[in-house]
Amino acid sequence: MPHFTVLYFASAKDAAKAESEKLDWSSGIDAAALTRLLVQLHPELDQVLKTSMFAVNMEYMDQDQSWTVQPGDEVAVIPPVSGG
Amino acid sequence: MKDNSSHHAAEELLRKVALLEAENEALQRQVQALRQEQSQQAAVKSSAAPLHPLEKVARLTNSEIARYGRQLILPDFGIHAQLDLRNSSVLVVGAGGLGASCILYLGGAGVGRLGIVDHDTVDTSNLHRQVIHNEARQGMSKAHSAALSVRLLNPHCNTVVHDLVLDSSNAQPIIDSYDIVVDATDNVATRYLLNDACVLGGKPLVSGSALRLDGQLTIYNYRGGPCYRCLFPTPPPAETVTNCSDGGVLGVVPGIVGCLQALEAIKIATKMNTQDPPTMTLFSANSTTMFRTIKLRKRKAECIMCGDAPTITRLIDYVKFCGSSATDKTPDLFLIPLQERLTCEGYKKILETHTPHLLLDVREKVQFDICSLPSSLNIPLKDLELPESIEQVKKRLNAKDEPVYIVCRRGNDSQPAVRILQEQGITTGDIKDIVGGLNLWTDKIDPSFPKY
Repeated sequence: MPHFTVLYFASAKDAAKAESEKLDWSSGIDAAALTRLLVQLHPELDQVLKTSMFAVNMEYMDQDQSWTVQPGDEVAVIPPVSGG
Repeated sequence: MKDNSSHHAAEELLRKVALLEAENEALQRQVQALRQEQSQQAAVKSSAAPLHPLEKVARLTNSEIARYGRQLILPDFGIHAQLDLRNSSVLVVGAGGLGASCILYLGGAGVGRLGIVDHDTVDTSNLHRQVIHNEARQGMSKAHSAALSVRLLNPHCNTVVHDLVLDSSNAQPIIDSYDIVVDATDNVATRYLLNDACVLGGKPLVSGSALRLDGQLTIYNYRGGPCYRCLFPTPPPAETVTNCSDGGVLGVVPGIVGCLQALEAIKIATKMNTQDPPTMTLFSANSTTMFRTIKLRKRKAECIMCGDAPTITRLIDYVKFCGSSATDKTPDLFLIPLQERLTCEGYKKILETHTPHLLLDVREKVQFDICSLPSSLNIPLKDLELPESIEQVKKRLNAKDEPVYIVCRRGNDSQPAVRILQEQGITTGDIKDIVGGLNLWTDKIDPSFPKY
C-alpha cells in the first residue's frame, strides 16, 4: 500500500497532536480532498486549515491550483504564526 | 647582579602601572558610557516622519574601519558591502522578542539608520527573551530602551525612535522613509498593515514570527516574490490566535528568528541575495530537523494587494479586518453578566466563612503546576466536556446543592466553563466564576500568590 507523509507545523501540530504522520495514499487527493481527509482524522484541524498553506516536498502549493498528492509525497501544513 | 634584579623590579612596576592604566581607562569608558546613557535617555525624543533623508557617504572613517574590520576582511562582504550597509536605513517594527536580537545585530553590523517602532513598555516578564532591555529599564518605553542599547553598542548607528502604535493613519510616511522594513511584531493586525504598506511603498518586508518552540521567516514583496496576502489571504479568526502571554515562548526561539531577520536585512542592503528565489524558513526548536526551507512561488497575479489588478490601493482598518487589536495583550472577555459572577472579595468571604463548595481550576496542567489555590480541582477547559471530567466533578461534590466556583488565570476561560457545567446540571447550587481570575486574586487579595 503506497503512503504519503503529512508534516504539521505550529498550531497544526497542536491540533493534530502530532509532528508528522504517514497516511495511506489513494489517487486523486487534491487540496480540497486532503483538507477533508485531515479534518476527518483530526476535527480540531478544521479552523487551522482554513488559514494554512500547503507545501508539497518543500515547495509551496496553491490551494486553488490543480495538484494531487503522489505516493511518497511529503505534505506540510503551515499555518501563519503571528507571535513575536 | 644587583643591577639586573633592580632592573627586573622596575620592569615589573612598569608592567603593573600599565595594567592599572588600562584598567583605569576601561573604568573611565564605563563611567562615560553610563553618563552617556543618562544624558541620551533625557535627550531622546520620538521622531515623526518624514525624516531627513539619510546622508550617504563615499568612504568609511578610520574609526568605522577599526570597528567593522572583521567583516571588512570577509571576501564575500568587504568594504563595498559595508558601505552599502552604512548608506541604508532599516525600520524594525517591534522591539520585543524578535526585535531584541534583530535590532542589536543590525546596529552592531553598521546599518546607517535604524528606526525602531514600539509603543509598549518594558516588563519583567519580557526579559527572558527581550534581552535588549534590562532590569533597570522596567516601565521604560521599549523603543527608547532598544535605541539606547544600540547607541551604547555602536554610536555610529543613527537610531530613530518611533514610540507609537503603528496604524493606517501613520504607517505609510514612516515606512516610506526607510529602505527595508523588518516585521518583528506580535499581532496579526500589524502584520497585514505592514504587508500592505510595504506593497504600496515598494519596500521589502523581512517578516519573522515565533511562538512556543516554532518560528517562521519570509521576505515578502521582494524581487517579484509573494506578499503576505499571497500566502495567507484570510486572517485567522481572533479566537484561534495564540499570543506569547497565553501560549508561552522559549526565550531563545524568537532570538534565533530575530538573528535570521537581521541577516536577511543585511543581505538585502548589501545585495548579497539577488539570485535567491523566494523561500519560507521554518524553525522547529524540538524537531530533529530544526530548519526547513519551503520554496515559494512568484507573487500571485490575482492577489488583491500585489496582484495585476489590486483592489486594495490604500491602507484599510486592520483591527476591523482581523477582528483583533494591534497588540498581543489578552483582552478581558465578558460572556456572562457581571452580577452572575463572583468577585475575588466574594470568594475570600466564602473561604473565611468555611462555606462548603468546590473550587474548579480550568487552566492547563502546566499552569496549575506553577501555583494553585488550596483544595482546588484541576480540569483544563478543553477537557471539561469529556464524560470522565463531568464524573470527576460530580464525585468531588459533597452534596447535590453544593456550589461550584470556577477559576482560571484571567477570568476568561472560566466563563465558558460555567456554561458547560450549567448545561450538565451538575449541581442545584450556584455555578459561578471568579472575575479576573488568579491574576486579580494576587492584585486584590493575596500579593504573595505568584503571578506569571
